[in-house]
Amino acid sequence: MSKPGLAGFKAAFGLPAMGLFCALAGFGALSEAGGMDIRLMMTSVILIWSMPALMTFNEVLITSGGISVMFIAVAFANVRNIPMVVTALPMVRTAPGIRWAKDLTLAQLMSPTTWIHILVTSDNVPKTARRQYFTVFSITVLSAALAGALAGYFGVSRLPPEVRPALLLLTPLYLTLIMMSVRKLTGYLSLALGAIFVPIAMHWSVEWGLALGGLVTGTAGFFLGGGQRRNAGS
Amino acid sequence: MSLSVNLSDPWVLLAAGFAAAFVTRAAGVAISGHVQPDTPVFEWFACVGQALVGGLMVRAIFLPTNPLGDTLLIDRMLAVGAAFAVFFLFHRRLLHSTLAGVLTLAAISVWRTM
Repeated sequence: MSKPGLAGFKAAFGLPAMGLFCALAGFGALSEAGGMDIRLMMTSVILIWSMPALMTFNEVLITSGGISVMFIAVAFANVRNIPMVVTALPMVRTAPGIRWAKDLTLAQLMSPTTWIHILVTSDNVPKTARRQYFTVFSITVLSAALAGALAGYFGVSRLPPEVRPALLLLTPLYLTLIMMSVRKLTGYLSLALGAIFVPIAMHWSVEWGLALGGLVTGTAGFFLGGGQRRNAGS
Repeated sequence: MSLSVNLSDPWVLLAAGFAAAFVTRAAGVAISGHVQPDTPVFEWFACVGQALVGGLMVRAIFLPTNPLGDTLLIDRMLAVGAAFAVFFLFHRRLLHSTLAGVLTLAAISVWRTM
């Protein structure tokens, strides 16, 4: 592979970029509807760069959850990135061991789209070219996402009024369906229990309901789904 | 001279959100190469994240605080139902399923104004 950067760009500039463009268009529309400043929205996309964590940021901001709730909620929403980073980085390293600057850069750029692409296509990319290939891939999908966020933010007011609310459905629906793609009983149960009880807990207390609701229902889903038994036996 | 920081300022909250997101990514880097991700503690973390985000998404769809709340609850339920139907009937295709839900809600909303 003579030009891994160009190859990474070409691989991203199709469905991966389009998917994130559409997803972030919904986020842009949602942010505009919530009265979020455009600079804050664009900066949040670059810095947080994970749809569940971005949606969590948006919701906690709207509900005035406070700094500690923001930290806890975003950390838990982003926890699913840990296994992604842990499994993807060894596939792009040319030598064992952590290289903090390079690894953190790729980790910061990583989204589920990039992660899946690394898992699926790594074998087709020479090991020495992988870091450049996937870095360019990640930057391309991030750029598409930023363009989508801008389009959603400014485009929503130009749509017919009766169609605008439908665009606000895009991001939460996309994320719900992504979570349903994880074919694990513990995941399904946690999602279902959280979907029912977290909103109720947040009705009681926005600040504590979110963190405690997620903690309790996620733990319940883990144990009811037999997560501890399967792992203990494996 | 005292420096006062408004802890409810959106930029301060973004800093907290970024710090939280960065910590989880840095944790991933730190343990990559040392720990297998398929362990109970990872699965538990993922479950808590799943429950938390799932709850937030249900709030965003069914108890929205934005103009999505101007649509009828039954219309949103029909749209989500359409998305789920496409998702399960057509090999879990995310983009198609999501667009099916959004277009269903848009179509119903247009129909109601006719």
